[in-house]
Amino acid sequence: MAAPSSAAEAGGIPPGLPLTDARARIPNLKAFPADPVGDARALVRLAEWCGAYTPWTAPEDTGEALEGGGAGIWLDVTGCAHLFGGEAKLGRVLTVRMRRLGFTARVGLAETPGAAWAVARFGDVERKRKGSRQDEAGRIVPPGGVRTALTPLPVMALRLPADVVEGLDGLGLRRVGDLLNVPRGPLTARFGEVITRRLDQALGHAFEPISPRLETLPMRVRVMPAEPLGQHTDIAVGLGRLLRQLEGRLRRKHLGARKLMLNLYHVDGEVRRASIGTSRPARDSDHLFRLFAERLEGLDPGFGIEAMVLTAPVTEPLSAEQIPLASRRLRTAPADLGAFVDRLQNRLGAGNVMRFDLRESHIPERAAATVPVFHGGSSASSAPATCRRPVRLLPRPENIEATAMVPDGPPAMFRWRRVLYRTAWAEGPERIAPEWWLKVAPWNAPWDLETRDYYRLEAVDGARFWVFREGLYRMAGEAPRDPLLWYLHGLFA
Amino acid sequence: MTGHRRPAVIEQLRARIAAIDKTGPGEEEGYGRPVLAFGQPVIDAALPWSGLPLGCLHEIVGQGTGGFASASGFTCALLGRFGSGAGDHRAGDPTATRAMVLWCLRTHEMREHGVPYAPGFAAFGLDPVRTVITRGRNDTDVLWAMEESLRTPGVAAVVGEADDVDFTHSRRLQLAAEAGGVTAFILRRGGDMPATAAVTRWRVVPVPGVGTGRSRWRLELQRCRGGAPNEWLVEWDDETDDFTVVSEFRHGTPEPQRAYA
Repeated sequence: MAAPSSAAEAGGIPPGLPLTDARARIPNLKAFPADPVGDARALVRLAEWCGAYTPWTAPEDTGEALEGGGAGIWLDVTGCAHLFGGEAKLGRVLTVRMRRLGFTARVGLAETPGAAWAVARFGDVERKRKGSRQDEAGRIVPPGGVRTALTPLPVMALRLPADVVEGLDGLGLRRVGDLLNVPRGPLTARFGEVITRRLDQALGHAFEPISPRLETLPMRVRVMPAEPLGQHTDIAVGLGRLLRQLEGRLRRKHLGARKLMLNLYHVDGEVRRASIGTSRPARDSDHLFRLFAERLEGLDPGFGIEAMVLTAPVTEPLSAEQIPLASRRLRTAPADLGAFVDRLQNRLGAGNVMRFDLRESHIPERAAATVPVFHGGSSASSAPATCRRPVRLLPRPENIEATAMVPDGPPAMFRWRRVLYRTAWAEGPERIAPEWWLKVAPWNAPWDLETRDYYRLEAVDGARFWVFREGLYRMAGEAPRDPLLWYLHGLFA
Repeated sequence: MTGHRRPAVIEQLRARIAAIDKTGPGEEEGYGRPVLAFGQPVIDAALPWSGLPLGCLHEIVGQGTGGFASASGFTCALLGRFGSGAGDHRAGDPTATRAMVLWCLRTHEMREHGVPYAPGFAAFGLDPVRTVITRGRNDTDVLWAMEESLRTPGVAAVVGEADDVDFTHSRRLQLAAEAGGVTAFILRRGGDMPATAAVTRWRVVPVPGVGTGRSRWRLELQRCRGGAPNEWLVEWDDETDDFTVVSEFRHGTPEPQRAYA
């Protein structure tokens, strides 16, 4: 039995009991196979859900097998609690929300992670003993009260391995308070440094780093409506508010967002995301809202959304722009173009909205490049003065069957895509040699390694083609190559 | 209604239609719209706006792989005239030199017809650096991108490669083009030609050049609002960046013997 329910435990089934014994004690026991991987995944999702309350969340490391350990979530609520009416209230809100999701949760809050861990799990022991019916507030350790709070707790509360706990028990050290009064030297000599380390961590003498699930983002705004949002229009209104808040914060820091992420926290514990990117740093809430509009359609409010969090994970400096006094419509054209390109990119994908650029290369594929729209000037200040180039280029040269009058002449006829073309006029060759100074070809095309002889052909029906023969017909001192490989690469207007 | 009054009534109706339809010839001095002149009197005279009206939707058809390339070249030639000073800017300058030109492609068609090739644009006087390429999954994406760009100031013109364009689509684009003052071109492969709200429809057929390898086309004006269909044999001179009308076909007359056969 890995995790008996509270009812089963009340019926006399401790964790670790074999299933057959458990069945003997409670015949109508329902047992399900343990799924540690699934549990861990659920814990991560729950930690994510807690992101609605604080940006800093982390699921507990399940690596160490500890008594009472495993199923915990770390929350750093520094500076967050006042948003929910104080620490006690936040704790209550969290337990109630968790209960609605079907989890029994206990909240512990203290100055150190170790103490919080301890009071969340063992704070009850103390209270039960006293017989008081305090609320969750009882598990909150007031500032400076860590030592007092820990003293009555069992040593298990220090996150000690089971064998150490057993050993301490043998010595009659059962409470944390007992350990506090014992000299440290003999303890370390006997049990290793684990006890002193945990003790120091719990008391705040030693720093305990915990990696949050997400890095904390300064550009983060949150809205938590009184009632869960169930309508698309409500989400839009909430998003509008968030974007305006974010705009103000970005403006104060002279930043613009390159990426925005919207997390929707659903009442059923689901977290749905929508993210957008911009081609240039932007903070105009109207513009960003339009970018999100496309994404919002796909978001299902489900049973309702209880929190919306908007973060700007990627920001770039954006100097204060001059906002025209008259109206927003008077904005300059480049800003409009930026907004327009963002809209295109968000629907088509960032890589699918590009600007042409010319490169200094004679290799046809390399002469034309696509760069981000607002990428600086052309990298080729002067594109090589080349011969005529086709208006359309095939993404990959296509093999053709060509018949030439003379072996190293242009094709007299050729078959491309199963259609036979007769050449009426030809011009060439234009010999393009590989760029030997580039050591590695950026793609592994066989034709890239060879010299190409390009010809412009005009078919009898008027269509104009750009074809090439791969390799030289005859290298000095070698036999003529057979068969010759011809490719069609482009189409002239 | 008596017989002799009919021409007057028709005149009246025409005037009313012209008043409603912003793309038609206007009242004062003929034409209210900025146009892009071909620079060839024969072609310009055949168009009711004495040039290609800007801020409208035009369709350009190229059949077959060669024809599609020719249609692309013709489109490039038209785009190249934007901002080159060749156009007629009677009503301000809607084609500022720095304005962006958009070319919307479909991913799955790129293998079939190739992609517009920037170094090849130079021959048509179009600066590739101000050309933005978008790639959509299908015709819907292309039409969406076109409509978006038609509403954007700072865009001079947009070209969309799409075939599944019905009357509603073209009507939408035409209205958006009118509203935004951006010129739109639909580049299509031919085949079924549904009714269109585009102001003109051109068909470009490659014709063998006389041993020069220059781009020579049979330019068919298949549809023209307020004008008659027509066709010409034109050649593009990539040194002067200009059209030359080699010969004028009367609509309906058979094509003369080709130089090459």
